[in-house]
Amino acid sequence: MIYVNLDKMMRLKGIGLVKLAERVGITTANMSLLKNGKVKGIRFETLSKICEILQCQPGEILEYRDNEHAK
Amino acid sequence: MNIHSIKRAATALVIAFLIIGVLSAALLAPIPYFRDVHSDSYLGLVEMIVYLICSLAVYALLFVVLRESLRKSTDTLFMNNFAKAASFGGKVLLCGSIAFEAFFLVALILRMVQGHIFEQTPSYEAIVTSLGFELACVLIGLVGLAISVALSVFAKALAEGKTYKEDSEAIV
Repeated sequence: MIYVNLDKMMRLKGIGLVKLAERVGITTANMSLLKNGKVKGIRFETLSKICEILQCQPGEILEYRDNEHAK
Repeated sequence: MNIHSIKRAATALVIAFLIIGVLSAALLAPIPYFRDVHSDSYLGLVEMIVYLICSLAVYALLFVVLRESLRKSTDTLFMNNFAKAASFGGKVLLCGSIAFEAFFLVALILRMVQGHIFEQTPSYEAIVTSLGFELACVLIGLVGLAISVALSVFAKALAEGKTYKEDSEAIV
């Protein structure tokens, strides 16, 4: 299962949800859904912009955990 | 009309009313007619009317922002626009309240200074009337502040996604 570690990265970089959403160019609602891992997918374009703003790699935002490990 | 032009208009409105308020207080206070018993009630009434007009203008502006948000809204975009509008409205109301509390403070100081210069002791009636008006204005300001705080909290809750649907099929 894919887990989104966006909140951890946002805390680390000291940027808020609203500001990040504005800079990425998506709605606060969608950014909130993404942060909470409630979306079906993420576009490369969105991921690229997030990485650019947070100065990180996609692997720092998205993480694969198998179901047993996740529990 | 976009959010930036509304913001600029609101800022101009608050600054304009602050200047008008301070100038009217400065101009009215030294006039002899406004120093007797009737003067205080008259000046207080002028203050309160100006304050009410300004409060209504701010609320009208907030209504315009919300209407614009509703008109342009589609699903989640509405939440985003509303969060922006609520946050902005809260800031405008807060600025308006602060600006007009400053106006009343200036008016009060001017009245105290002129009273001291002309060695006029205001009558009991004048003091009570004046205080009544000041209290009414402060209460209006407090209501504005309460609304602004409520709007800010609501906007923050929206921005944090507390009121969004838990599950989504969205691809962002």
